[in-house]
Amino acid sequence: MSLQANDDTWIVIAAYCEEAVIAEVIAGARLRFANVVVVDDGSTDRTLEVAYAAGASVLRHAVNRGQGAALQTGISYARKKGAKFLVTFDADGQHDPEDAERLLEPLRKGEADAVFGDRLTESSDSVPAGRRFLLRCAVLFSRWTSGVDLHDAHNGLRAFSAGMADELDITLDGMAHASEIADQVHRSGRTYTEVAVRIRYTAHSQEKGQRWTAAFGIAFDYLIGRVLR
Amino acid sequence: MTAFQIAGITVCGCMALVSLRRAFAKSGARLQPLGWTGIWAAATAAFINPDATTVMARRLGIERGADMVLYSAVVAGAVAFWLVSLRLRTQSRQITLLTREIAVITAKSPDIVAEQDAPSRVESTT
Repeated sequence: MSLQANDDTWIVIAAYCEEAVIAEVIAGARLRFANVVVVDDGSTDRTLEVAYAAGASVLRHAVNRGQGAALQTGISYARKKGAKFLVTFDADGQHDPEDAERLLEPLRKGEADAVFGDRLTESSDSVPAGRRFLLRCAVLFSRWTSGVDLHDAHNGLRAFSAGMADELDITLDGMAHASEIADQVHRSGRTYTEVAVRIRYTAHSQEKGQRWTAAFGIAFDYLIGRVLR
Repeated sequence: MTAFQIAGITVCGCMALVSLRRAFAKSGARLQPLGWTGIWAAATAAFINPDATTVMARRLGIERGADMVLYSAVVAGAVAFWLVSLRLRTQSRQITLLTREIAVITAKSPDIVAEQDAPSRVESTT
């Protein structure tokens, strides 16, 4: 699809200290999407300057708030700019812009309002075994706590229609936002689906990834957030 | 009366008076300072007559006054911890909202490059 065909779509990237790879990520996205916004979540390096030079619209959190907070900022900004569709995209180079286009297909056809990337169904071999186990636990946790039926609830590659984006209100600033997004989509009553995607694990992305022990904190954050909402 | 009791009565009595004064100040909420007045007054009474705590405790089915005071302190501590946690959560949320507001106001967009001048497009393979 040409840049013009994807004129109605904004790629939303939350970034924290990604100056090493962000230019490449933006360049790849901008081959297919004209509108890319990077939310610099209080980085201590030159992520903001590099992202801007690479052609992205940039916003900066003056203090680090977490990926969930940065994504909501990006989503709010993109909607302000009139985005008809939005795609959340990781800043560490794990995602493929071609997959982002494939996520848009059900949205454009009106078959769904939210599309989640699924790295476990077809491409599970590319996911390290330990991470695969953790992700499957996360799926069971999501099913148990909110009834969300997804194979991969914690994939950063997601696409939303404008209507769905307007209903989202990410209040969990940290990594529990992924469960919160899935929960809110499920509770909205709108149609959602999954599309198989590929994940590229690099030394850089593995280093930036969550430790397995963080899973307990994320689950706790999510449960407390649900009680207080 | 021991020196400890005298010190306790002095401190708690003064705090009760300060809270009472706040409760009847011209402006501000009244309920909270009145509540604190009650707590400080009860503490003062316990210093004046420690045996009164045992009488109260037995009415509640607790054997000793000291146990009643301890249980109350534990419950009060847990409630205080919960309230502080809630307040911290609220403040954290407010910081995020403020940070977001500033970020959106100070957003920067590069110039939009015309499509004919853009880098080569990728042909869709899907």
